[in-house]
Amino acid sequence: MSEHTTLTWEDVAHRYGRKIYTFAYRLTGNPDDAADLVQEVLLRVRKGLASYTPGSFEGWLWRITRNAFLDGIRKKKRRPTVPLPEGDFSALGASPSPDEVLASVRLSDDVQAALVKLPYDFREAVVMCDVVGLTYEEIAEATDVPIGTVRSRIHRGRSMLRDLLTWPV
Amino acid sequence: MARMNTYQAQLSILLSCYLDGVLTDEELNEVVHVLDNDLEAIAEFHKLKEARRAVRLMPMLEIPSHLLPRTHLDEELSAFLDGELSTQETPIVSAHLESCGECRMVLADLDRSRIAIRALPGVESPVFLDVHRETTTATRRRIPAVVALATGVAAVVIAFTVGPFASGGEQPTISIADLNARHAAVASVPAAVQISNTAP
Ligand SMILES: [Zn+2]
Repeated sequence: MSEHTTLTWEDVAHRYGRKIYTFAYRLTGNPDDAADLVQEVLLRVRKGLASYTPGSFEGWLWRITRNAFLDGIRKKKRRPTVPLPEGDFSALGASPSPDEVLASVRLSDDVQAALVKLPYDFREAVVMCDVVGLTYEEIAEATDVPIGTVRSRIHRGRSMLRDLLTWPV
Repeated sequence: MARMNTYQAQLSILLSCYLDGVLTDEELNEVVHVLDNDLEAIAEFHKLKEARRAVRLMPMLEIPSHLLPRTHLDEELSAFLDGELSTQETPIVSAHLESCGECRMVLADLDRSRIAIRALPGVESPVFLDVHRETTTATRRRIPAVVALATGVAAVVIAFTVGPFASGGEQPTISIADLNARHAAVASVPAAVQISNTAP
């Protein structure tokens, strides 16, 4: 039995609220959207906790979080980020030289700005892995894709991110 | 970035996975071998490593405190009775009340006080105080509406109180949607009172 079977939604709020807020903020770069998401997720957790069956709590929670996030986007009909064509990274510029790599000390604002330019699937995978700290298995469960897809998305997200963070001198 | 062939693309994914320590032994051997020999792969590896580091260096943010449930509700309870909660606070307060019998009892006490105060009759002002007469009349006219409002709230409170007993102390029977609808109904009453005040 998982210890999470005895969690109340308030426990979840206190234990995971900050992570959920940060997750949404990193995906959107917007504090209002992040606050909306936290509220929606906590409502869904409260409703769903009774029917939660022991398993990967992280996978369950982040699936709820992700679905709430996507529902919120659909509801608000926000401008979708323009996804780059699959497999074509040429628009992102030439490979950085080692000097450029060494010289680039990035503020988190720069990284944030670059993050929101990534296609959603890649951005989500990177944020779940490197911001939230989920395992590949947990990401696969939360996003309902095979683990191979998780690997590929995280990699492509990082790859594109690095190109976005390097400006030609 | 130059276009990669399938092998390079697969290798690049392995390099990313290597950073996260999720490779199988077989994959690990391949990556280690490549990183010993292939300058391009080494450059790619460092690029991925930097991107990963950049994201991981971003700070975990503080969540605004109003988004978290507190141990118990306090002044929000009076605001809830008066329909004065913000749209952000309402679902949080509703959810807390649904899961917390202590706060429901405090809410019931507050509601009784509120009803008692609001049920006090309006006092006739002396005739010479003409300025106040209209105000007092308006106040008296308000009373029935306010009592009706308070009664509605009392119904909500009773439902809160009865819910857990009725269901054997398990899940409350009231849904969040019900609570919010009721709260919205309560919140809408002062506007109606406002309109009746402006009527002749
Ligand atoms: Zn309470």
